[in-house]
This record gives sequence, C-alpha cells and structure tokens, in this order.
Amino acid sequence: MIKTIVIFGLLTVLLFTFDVLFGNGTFLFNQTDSFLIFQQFRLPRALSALAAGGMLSVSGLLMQNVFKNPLAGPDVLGISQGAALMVALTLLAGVGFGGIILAACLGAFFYLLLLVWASKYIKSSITLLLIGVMGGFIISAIISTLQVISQAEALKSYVIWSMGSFSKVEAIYAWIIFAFAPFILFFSMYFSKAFDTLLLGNQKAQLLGINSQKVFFIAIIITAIATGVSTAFCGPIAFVGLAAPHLCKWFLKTYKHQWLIPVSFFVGASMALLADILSGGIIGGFVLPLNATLSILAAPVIIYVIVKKTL
Amino acid sequence: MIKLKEIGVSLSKQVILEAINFSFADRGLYIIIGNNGSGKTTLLKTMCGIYKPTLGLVQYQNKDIHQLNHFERSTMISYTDNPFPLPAFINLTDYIQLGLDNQDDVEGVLDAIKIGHLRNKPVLEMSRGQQQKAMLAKLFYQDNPIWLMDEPTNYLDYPSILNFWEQIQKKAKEKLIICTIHNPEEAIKQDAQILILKNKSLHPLNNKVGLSEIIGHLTE
Repeated sequence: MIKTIVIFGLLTVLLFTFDVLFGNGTFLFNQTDSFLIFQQFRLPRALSALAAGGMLSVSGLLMQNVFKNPLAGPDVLGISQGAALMVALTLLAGVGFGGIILAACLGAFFYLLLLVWASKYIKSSITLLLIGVMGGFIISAIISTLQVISQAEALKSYVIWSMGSFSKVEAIYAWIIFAFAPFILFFSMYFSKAFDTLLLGNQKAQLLGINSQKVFFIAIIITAIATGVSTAFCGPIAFVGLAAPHLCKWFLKTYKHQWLIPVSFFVGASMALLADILSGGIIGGFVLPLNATLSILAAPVIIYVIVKKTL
Repeated sequence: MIKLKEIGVSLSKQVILEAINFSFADRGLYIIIGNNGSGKTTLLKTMCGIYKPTLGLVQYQNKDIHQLNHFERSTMISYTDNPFPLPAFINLTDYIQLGLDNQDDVEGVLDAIKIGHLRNKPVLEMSRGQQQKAMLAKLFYQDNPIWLMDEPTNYLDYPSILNFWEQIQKKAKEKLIICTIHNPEEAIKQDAQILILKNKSLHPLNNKVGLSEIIGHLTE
C-alpha cells in the first residue's frame, strides 16, 4: 500500500514537473524571461491543476461513500452548479458580489446550506442525491435564461469561465488553492475509520456507534469547500471527482480510506495535470478545452465501472 | 435487565405494536415466534434504537435507551437482520473487526461459527449462507451483553443451524439473547422462553408448551 502511494505520489510530481516545463507546448527555458513565465504562468497553472484535481477527487470518493452511489460526485450533487449560478449572477446580471471568487464560494456554501437543511427532513441519501441532481438542472435553466438577457461582453467572460481552465489562474490565487489541499486531505483522513464503517450502511454503522448523520455532514462540508475553492478559480472541472476515485479503487482493491484518500488525491491530481498538459498545446500546437480533454480521459473509466460494476 | 414499558409503535400511521409490557432477565434465551407482518422485526428494531416508540419506553439499567447516543447504545445492544450492504474488497477477518475496537484476535469466533477456512475470503464472493455466518461472527466478536437477532438461522444449512443453537445456548448463560423465528419446531427444541407476537402484542408461553399449542396460536 505504501508502495502504491509512493508510486502515485511520484507520478504526480513527474506530471507536475512536465506541466511546468512543457505546459504551453514549448520548453520553459527556450523562452525569454523564463523565470517570469515560470513564476506568473507555469507554476500557478500546475499548482492549481494539482490541488483542484486532488481535492475534487477526494470529495468524489467521500460523496460516493455517503450517498452509496458509484456515480455520485461533487458536480452531480449540484454544488458546482450552485457556484456557477452566483458567478453567472455576478458576470451576467452585474449583481455585485465582490468578484467571481467570492461569488463561487458563496454559491457553493448556499447550496450546501440548502442540502444540509434538506437532509434534516429527507433521511434517504439516494433521494437527497436525486434532489441535488434536479436542483442542478433548475440552476442550469436559470443560468441559460440569464444568458439570453445578458450583454455580449458579459456573456463572453461567463462562457470562458464556464469552460474551465487551469491556465487563467493568477499566481496568488493558485497558492490559495494549493493551501487548501493539505487541509482537505488531512481533514478527510482524520475520519477515515468512520468512512470505512459507513460502507456497512448507515443503520449498521449507527449500531456500531458511528453517528452517520455527523459523518454525512463532514463529507458535505469537505466537498463544499473543495468544490467551492476549485470552481471559483478554475471554473467547473468535469469528471475528475467521478472517475479518479474509481481508478484508485481499481488499483488498490481495498476498502480502507486511510489508503483510498491519499491515493485518490494523487490519481485526481495526476489526471488534472495530464489533461492540462494534453490541452495546453503539446498536440500539434492546438489549445484544447480542458473539460473536453478531461471527458475523453475520464469517460472510458466511468463506462468501465458501469459495465464491470467494480464499485 | 431490559424492560418494555407500554411500548406502542406506529409506522406510516399504521399501528404495528400496542401497549407491550415485558421484562427480559439479564441473561437467558428468548425466542419470539410470529407470522409474517406480526411486528417481530419492528419490536427488535425498537429495542435496539433504530425505531423510536410512539408511546412508552425501552429501559436498560433504568436508562431510556432512546436517550443514549449511538456510541453508548453500541456498547450494550447488538442487532442483526441481514448482512447487506457488504463492502467490496474486504475479507472475512477484516469484516468481522470493521468498526469495532475489540483488540482480541478473531480465532475464537471463527471456531465458534466454524468458518476458519474462510478467514481470507472476500465477503462479497461468499455464498449467501456464508455471508449470514460472517454476520453472526461479527455479532459474536462485538460481544455485547444484549443480542437481538432477527431470524438468525435464515440461509444456514442443517449442521450450521444445530451448531448455531449450541453456541447460542452457551452464550445465553452470560448474555440476554432474543431471537425471532418463523418455525415453531425449531423453537421448542431450545432451552428458551418462548413468546408469541400476535394481535400487536407479546404473549409469553409457559415452559412446557407443546408444538400443537403454538401452532394453534399461530393459525387461529
């Protein structure tokens, strides 16, 4: 197990270095002002890919556990849509929330509050998951409506944000995302034993002394923070939270979250870094949309999971 | 000593149990017989804290068990019905220990349930009967003073049923064990207090009760 963590840790470091060196399809030291480019562009994008990919993957792992559903993930719950709505309001309708970052965090947070409130009355986690999905649809509809009535210039900046990218994150914000990563990692690992027991179902976990409701809240809070922070700076990032935990379980073949959490983090980080490298211009000089690359990388994994039913 | 005081339970606005009063001793075996839908499972789930009674209370050592938190209850009362959901990638030994602080090794319970040969087998790859035994082994390992077992012999083969009751009789010398069962023939073979659950309430039978009398109760 330790070996697997080290292997995936090294893979992450390798991809990170590669992303820094070849992130835009050109070798870092072949450029003039290479230190400035490193400091202002290459390092921030690699840092945010690493941290956002890792955090989204860990929250996907926890969502799949507490919702007892292999297709649960931070985007499925509607939390990214919650963040997107507030960003849309800021950019499209011009309602001031003090910038995109604060708007996205507020959106994720309000959506979380709504879910926590709903979970007081709805005990079935599958019902709650479906409500999350439906809520996401309603929000998407509101955003589409906003797009119709908004100015062309505002619409453009929203569309660019909503495509998702690691390359537009400013240096200071990249370090902020990166600072959240260890917090998310250690906070979730602290509860790894409870997450193990919760695999037996809420009722059996309660009979073994676990407060399932509390663990459920903790998982939602971790997801809201991870999704809010990464969505705010990088835009909605598709599929990492869904596919990376499955890849991790497939490699590790364990139920123990003390291993699943760190390896999920590294697998998610590697996936995001790889997608960033592939879409950055290394393939024939074409800059591809990040979420398109991620979908191509991740969708086969999800299809494999559905066919094989290896949860 | 666990006491049921004027217990009434309604689920989805339907009255399942009504005004049940009964005191179980600190140790011994009790077998509850009842037809499908008579409320056996509801009674056990109310006693272990999963359901809250609509009326009355369940008392253990003079404490209302529904006022205790999950952890406090988990050190007193065990409950089993079925083993699902079972996690992927977990072998029998880890499954038995999952969620429990017990530091003993599992050899004792593997011997008692006779599943030592399965110790490294993933529980998801076991037969349904073996999964039932894995669940029973987990309950034995948890080693609480009160065991509530909902139809524990389901899916077991004949020798395993005989072994199960032999082990339960041993444990009943130091623990309170309450089992629900469908089959009266299985029940009267045991050294146990038999209770019939019908018409929403619990009726203790006397010790020398015959099979025909129990069948009479169930079919009348």
